[in-house]
Amino acid sequence: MSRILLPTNGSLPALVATQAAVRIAKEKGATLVILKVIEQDPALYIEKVSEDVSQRGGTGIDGTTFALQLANKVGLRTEVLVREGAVTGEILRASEEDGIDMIVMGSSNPRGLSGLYLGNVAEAVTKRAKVSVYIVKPTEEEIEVALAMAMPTPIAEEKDELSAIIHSRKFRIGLWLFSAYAVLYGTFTILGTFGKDVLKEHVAGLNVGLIMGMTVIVLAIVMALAFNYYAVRVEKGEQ
Amino acid sequence: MADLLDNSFKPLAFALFLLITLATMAISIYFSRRVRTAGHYYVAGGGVKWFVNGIAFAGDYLSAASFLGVAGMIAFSGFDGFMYGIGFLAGWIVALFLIAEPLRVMGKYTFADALVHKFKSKRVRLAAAISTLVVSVFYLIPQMVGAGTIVQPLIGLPYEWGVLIVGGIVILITATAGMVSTTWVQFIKGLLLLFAALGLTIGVLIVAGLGPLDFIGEILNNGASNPSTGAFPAYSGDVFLSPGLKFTNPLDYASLALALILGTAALPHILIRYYTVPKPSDARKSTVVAIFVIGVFYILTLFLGLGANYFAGKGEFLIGDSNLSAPTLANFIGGEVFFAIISSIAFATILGTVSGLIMAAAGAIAHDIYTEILGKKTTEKSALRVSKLTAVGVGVIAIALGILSKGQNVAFLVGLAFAIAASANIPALICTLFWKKTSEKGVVLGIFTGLVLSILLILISPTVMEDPFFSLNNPGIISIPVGFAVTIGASLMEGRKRAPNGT
Repeated sequence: MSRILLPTNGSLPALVATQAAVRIAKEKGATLVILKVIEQDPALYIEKVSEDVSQRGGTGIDGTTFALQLANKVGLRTEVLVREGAVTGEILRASEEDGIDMIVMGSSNPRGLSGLYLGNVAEAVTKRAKVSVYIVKPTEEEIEVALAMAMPTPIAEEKDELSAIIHSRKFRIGLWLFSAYAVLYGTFTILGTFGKDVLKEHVAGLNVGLIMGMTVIVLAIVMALAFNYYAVRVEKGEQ
Repeated sequence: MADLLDNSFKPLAFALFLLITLATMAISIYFSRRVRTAGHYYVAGGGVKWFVNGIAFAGDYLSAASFLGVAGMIAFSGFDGFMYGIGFLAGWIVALFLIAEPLRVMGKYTFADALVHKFKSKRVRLAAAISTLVVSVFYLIPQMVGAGTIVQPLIGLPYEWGVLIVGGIVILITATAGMVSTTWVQFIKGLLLLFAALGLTIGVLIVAGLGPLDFIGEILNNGASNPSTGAFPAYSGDVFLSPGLKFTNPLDYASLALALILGTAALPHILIRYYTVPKPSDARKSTVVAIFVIGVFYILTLFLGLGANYFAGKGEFLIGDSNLSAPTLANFIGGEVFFAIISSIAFATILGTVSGLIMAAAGAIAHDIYTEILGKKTTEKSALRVSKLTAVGVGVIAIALGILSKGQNVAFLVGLAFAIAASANIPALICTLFWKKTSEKGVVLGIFTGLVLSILLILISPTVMEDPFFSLNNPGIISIPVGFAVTIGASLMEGRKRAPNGT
């Protein structure tokens, strides 16, 4: 049982390398181990956010998702690793710790700085890895192909997904529950504003206001649990 | 015999305080170096687990406001304080049924990204970023007030020092390293808060020697005290446990109710958490966990507030500042150790929430405005510098406003932040998700109208002015509908203008 490691950050060369890795894994009947390295340094969180955004902004593609999509299409076994640290070191360590037989990764990016950076990583990994390293040097053409495969789906899919969620029976039931809750909360608010005397009425050792207030809280919990129970069953049914 | 909490230096309390604060920071740093953290980052099949995220929601949400503010408000104003708890929870129903799954599908990183995703407009991004910044600052104020209040009896430092300490530590954290993921810290704090409230509630009932319902019945039948003077009965049970003590103008009650139910789903640091889980269904599940924890917590808070009032009426202690009701009660029930634990958890919570808020604000400036709108080709170095400067700047502003707001009830201040968030963000968010005709102009105008109007109304309200032009303390009932009206109106007008041209 061989295992192929694919380090990816969603950059253009990584996307092309993803196609190569999936092809090779399919030929060998190997497991595809997808590795995403979150860089530990620079340490500031904000920078990481903007870094991630700029990386995604470059291609707008999540490397791991893309790899999973391709792999699932041809029915590969996959594993996803997320590690934090220096990119080269984490790739090498993952390849040793996870019994990797081959590393497939992208080389320098003709289109930008991040690619240049990954280029250096590929070189460093090759020098120090104990297993074979397959470095993909993408041509412009291959990049276009990879982009065409990856790009149109996210936006179209997200829109469909949004309308699929909003128009689903599950969401309508949620809306219905929400309306019921809003009516109760509204009644409670209106009574608190204009009908204080009603809320003062004693009932069962408490008063109407306290009982309604607690009902509003408990009902929120009950509704949430019930809705989730229902939604989980629906989702299981869909699978 | 009745005494206020004394503000002397207490070595044991200080040691515990130091321990919990350092542990919080250590956990934060430790987990920031672990493998699967980076709260904002998600991968298919990975990311933050929904259960962890749900408890972290609660940890994020149950900040100083709930623990200190709501308990204090209940102790001093009875039912009107309970209304805060009810409204804070009701907001999650909006999040669960309307926002959670649809928003997660529009998946990017921030509220601004979700809107830009549809409109691809710099103006929309600018409006959303400014609104994020303003709401974060307003939400920071009560946290700072909570911090300042709690250090007084805890370690014997004046109020201003508390504000400075929190501000300083947070600026230090954000300007150096470590504060990568608040998720785990919030998770642990959420659990700690829940157990602390549970322990305190059980303590109240045991010391009072009454069952939960009998305890409330006791106050309803015998009346309530004024916790700052110890006078008993200061109010009849009917007055204390029905609306009107805090909200003398009934519309204020309605305004708050509206702001609270719509505010939760509009808070930037809550919205950002929807992107930490891998799937829309996980967004829903973590919301359900949050609702469960937060709901239970607010029921417990009712007992904490009433407990503080009850024992003050028995002459056991006095409460000078309503925010100190829960800590004072803890001191009475479990002595100095319990007091120190409760207060330190509250302090640590404030620390985490403040860091998260400052990060959200810094993100809005560094990512949305500096990089995206000004179109600076940021190198890593300059982005780092901008976000650091922002974090420091926002921290300093928060410190200043925190010192100015001394003496205000924390929950009340949070109510204002909710009103601003709901007025500015909810119309934009709801319309963008559910109404196809929403236009770019409508969103931008709606956000700015809600933002400016709600702040303006606060500035001319009794909260700020002695002789107010606007009689309601909470602007929500005016500014939220106006925000919707402007968003919808502007979208419709634009649509009509376009139609004759056939575009």
